[in-house]
Amino acid sequence: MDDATFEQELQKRLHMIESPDGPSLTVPDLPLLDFAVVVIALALATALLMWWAY
Amino acid sequence: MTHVLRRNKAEKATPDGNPDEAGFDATLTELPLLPTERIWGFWQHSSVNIGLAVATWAFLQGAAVAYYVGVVQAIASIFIGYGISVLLIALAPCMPSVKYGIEQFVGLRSAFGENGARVVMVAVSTVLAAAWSAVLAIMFGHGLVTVANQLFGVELSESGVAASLLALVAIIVSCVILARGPVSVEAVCRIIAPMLVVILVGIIVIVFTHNTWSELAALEPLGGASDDPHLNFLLAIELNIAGGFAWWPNMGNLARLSRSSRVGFWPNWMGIFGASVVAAIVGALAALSLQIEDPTQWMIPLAGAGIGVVALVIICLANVTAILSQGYASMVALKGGGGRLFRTAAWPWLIAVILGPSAVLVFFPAAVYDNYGRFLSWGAIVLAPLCAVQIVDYFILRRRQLHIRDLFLPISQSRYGYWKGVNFVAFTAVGAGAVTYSLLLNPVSYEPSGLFRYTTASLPAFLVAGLVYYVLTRVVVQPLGLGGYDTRSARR
Repeated sequence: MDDATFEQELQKRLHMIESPDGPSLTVPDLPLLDFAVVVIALALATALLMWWAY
Repeated sequence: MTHVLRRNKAEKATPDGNPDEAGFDATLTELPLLPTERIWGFWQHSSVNIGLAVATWAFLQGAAVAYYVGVVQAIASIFIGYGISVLLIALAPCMPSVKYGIEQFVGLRSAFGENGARVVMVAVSTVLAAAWSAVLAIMFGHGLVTVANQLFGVELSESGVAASLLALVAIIVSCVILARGPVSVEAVCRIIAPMLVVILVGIIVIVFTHNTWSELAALEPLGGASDDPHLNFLLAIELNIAGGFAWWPNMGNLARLSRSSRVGFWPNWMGIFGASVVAAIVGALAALSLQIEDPTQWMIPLAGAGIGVVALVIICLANVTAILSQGYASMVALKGGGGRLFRTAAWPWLIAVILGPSAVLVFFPAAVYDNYGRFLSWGAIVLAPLCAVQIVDYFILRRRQLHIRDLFLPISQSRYGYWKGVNFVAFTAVGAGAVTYSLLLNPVSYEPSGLFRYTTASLPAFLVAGLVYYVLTRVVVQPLGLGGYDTRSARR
């Protein structure tokens, strides 16, 4: 892609991102619950495996 | 991998503003993606993730772990180690990339500055890709030497010139396939990947046919029984944390194509966690049951001369497909995020940049293939601190808010301009993490310090880098008004 095409397309997309009426290019953040589920599951599994491995 | 998305995107083309109509593929550039260009749902992201994870490097990983611990501790250490590092990678670079649809090294500009992020990207994409390609090519050479010895009754050395020359052949073949473009890469990978899964299943069946669980659990590590089994267990965990961190350069750009944050997060647990854990455990089982560390030496004892040679040839070919996947991903990263120099560079030049150094490294097998654990350490020394800096910057200091326009503005105008496009604080933090790692686990001799047996090396390196970055940003960067850390004005 040449520089001119890239710059033109970039400006179009940045305008879309900043336009309050345009389609949202961003997606919502990961819910905290998802992160908590992984951390708790990982912690429990790690504790269980440490007990098993010794 | 990106070749898959290219085809899918063409199939899903819509008439309203799809850039395919403009004659380019935005996923191969550093442009923020439009909703129509986020082509992966949960299963599509998962399948690509699994395909990357189930490759010959999983055998090397399992064998390296088996050097230190027996079956039970191998399973535990692989699970724990990969779990920790995959969790961190799934946060950064994955979350900023998926939220904003940005190329992962573009997202890194908020922490390192534009020039700093480019230095990180070029270094990581070229050095690590070259090193991994060399490891895989040497494994290819070892495998074909074993096949030749078996078929022709010769006695070629697996660490001799013949193996290195065959490894060079693997690099040259990879260059030729890459030069033919992404369609060739996809075609080769689509044939080999299912065969590798069959071999994995075959190894499990054979190992459990010839051994009971009690017999397997009683097997000693390849390095022999240790006076300090706890230290060996920690070394095995460290190997697997490092193995997980090795995915850092690739995973953000996969998550970028996902339609939601959940789709960018959870498939990592199917692929680089789930599939890697299974494949590495299979590798450890094979290594321990045969008491052989080199995966290319497993197939004939496991399956007999006939099937073993066929399996070995498949594994050799799988090494080529892994080189292709790694090389192609790195070239796409360079082309997309390497700035004007790489964006306008011809494909053959990119191939030379990525695989040229590999062609030299294959003549030094002792430096990479024979020291897989050390090799992983060299990666983790940098990757664990890099991951920490991005997590602290994105989640703690910026509270998950980036100004996308500023990521693309000229350095003099961007809030992420720092010092001429480089945030020296970020590099200082990475350096502090690297020094911490080296003090805990010598990357050259692989000798652990006394403290290592309580901490591992990657985790303290991660924590120190994150802490140094946080403190120096609060004390130095923010008072100078650099970095655009005023999140009150951030709306996106």
